[in-house]
Amino acid sequence: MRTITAQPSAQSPNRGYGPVGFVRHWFEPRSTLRDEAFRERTIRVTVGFLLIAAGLALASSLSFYIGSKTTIPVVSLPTLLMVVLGLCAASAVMIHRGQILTAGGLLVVAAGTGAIGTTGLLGYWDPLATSASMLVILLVALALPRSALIPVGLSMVLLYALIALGAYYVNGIAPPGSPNSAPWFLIIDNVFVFVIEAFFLRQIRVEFDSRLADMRESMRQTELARKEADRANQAKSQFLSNMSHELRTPLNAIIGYIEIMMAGMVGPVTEKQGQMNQSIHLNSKRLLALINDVLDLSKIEAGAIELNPAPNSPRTLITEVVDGMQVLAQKKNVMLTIHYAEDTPEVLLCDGTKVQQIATNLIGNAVKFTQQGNIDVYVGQGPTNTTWQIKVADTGKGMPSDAAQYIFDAFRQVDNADTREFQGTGLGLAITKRLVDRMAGSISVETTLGKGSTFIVTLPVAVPEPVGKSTPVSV
Amino acid sequence: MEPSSWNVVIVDDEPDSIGVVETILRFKDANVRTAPSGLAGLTLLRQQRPTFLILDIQMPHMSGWEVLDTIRKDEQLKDLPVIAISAHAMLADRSQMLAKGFNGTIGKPISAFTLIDQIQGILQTLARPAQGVV
Repeated sequence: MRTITAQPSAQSPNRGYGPVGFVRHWFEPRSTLRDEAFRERTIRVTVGFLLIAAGLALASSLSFYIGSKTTIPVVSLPTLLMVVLGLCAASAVMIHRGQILTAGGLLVVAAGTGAIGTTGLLGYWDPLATSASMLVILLVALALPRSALIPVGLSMVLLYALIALGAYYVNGIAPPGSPNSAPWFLIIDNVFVFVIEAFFLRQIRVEFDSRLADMRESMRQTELARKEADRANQAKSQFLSNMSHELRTPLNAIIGYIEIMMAGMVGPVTEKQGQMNQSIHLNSKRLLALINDVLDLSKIEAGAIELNPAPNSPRTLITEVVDGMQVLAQKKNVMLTIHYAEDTPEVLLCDGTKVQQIATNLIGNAVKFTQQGNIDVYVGQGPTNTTWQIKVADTGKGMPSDAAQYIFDAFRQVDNADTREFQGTGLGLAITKRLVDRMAGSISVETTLGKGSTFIVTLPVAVPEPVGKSTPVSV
Repeated sequence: MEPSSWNVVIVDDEPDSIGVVETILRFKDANVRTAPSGLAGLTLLRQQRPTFLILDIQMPHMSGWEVLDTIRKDEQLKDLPVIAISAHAMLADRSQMLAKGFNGTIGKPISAFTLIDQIQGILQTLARPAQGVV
């Protein structure tokens, strides 16, 4: 038999105070699984009400005996009710221990004992006992395994028939309402009600259980699919890592040897050869950049980008990038200036390399698309004090106003024609956007065709925890 | 420390990768020995201890990791400076290499313009180990 174990008090729902709070808390199922929570709640509620009902009945029957000052016989209503109370208490203990099925079984025995015991004590077929026995069947259907329903239902029918017939034929007690006849009609009537009730409940249980099985199956499938996707993603990452290695190895030889020739390490080269070397070198570097971009994008899309947050100074990070770009900007006679607002965070927790990659892409783009004028990089607090911002404003070509909708897509440049003026894979902004997303930030652009563009990156501020000596580390 | 006083062993399964590094180092008058596999490299190291070792990571039969392991367990060689040279450019790979006992890393493609500076930089950090590597 399957055992169902609820986690006792593992994650109890918010517990109330006082007696009302305790009672409400008692009725709350502890199990987090839906079907088990349903079963647990049914049993909890039934135990609660049976304890109260049997307790009241015991009190009233005891008061009768106390009033009459006679001793309580062994076979009597108070002893029967004490047995029922004992079984309910045992059931409550089992619930507390998390053994829900055992608790349900004890409860069924308690209700059955009460119903049949009353009939036996009275010696005739009490209508109250009929409804109590229907409660037993209902309880079996809700709280016990499906297979228990028919056996328990049939034994209830059998016990009733035996008691009623015994009362009639042995003691001569006729059921109420039929003083002159054998209780056959009532027996058949009740058997009919029990059998129909058990049949209906069984149908409902079958349907419920099969839906539950469907649900479990689909959950299992989802889990399988998720695991499969995880495996596929891992394979993809591994493939990317291998590709990266395989593509770089031949490029390493090409770039290495060309630089050796350019550095004059293997003797003089003619002017023409020197020009060709320059050309091979430039193209190899472009190929390398392209490979890096494609691999970067694939890695991000494969979810293989890991952030390594560390305490960093935004000033140091961005200054390094701008310094690195100055040579390019000066070549194009473009003025590249950096402005730090006073509210720029001194130290924050971020992946410095990724922040620099974002800044490099944006500033590199600005330099690339600006023929004259200036590029201004602004760093400061964002719209809220939990964010910080990098703004890159240029006086370059600008873009049509609808460009913002697609420039962050992979492989898109504003001018996608074969004759396009600007080289590049069109991956820079796509990578930037995905990196920003990965860091839970946002990126936007304001642009006017012919006047220039401003890219704004907003990143969350995570302040590093002060650990002992809080010296900002920047490498 | 001038490159002319260097005694270098290069271990790499790609002949052209060896070629590039070897040419640059020889141009600076360093003494260079090369091996195409981890096993052959270990033999060279045991014949004569070099100033430092330049070691490729991804090699058939015996990877750079295994070579490094063997070196760090060898009484004679355990404190030999080992520089990893790898086409794995990811930053995470590099910090992993430093954590696993390499003294420095150089990414491929190797640049004739900067290789010597890179090596000297790594050797300088080794010269003052008391400062600690962050």
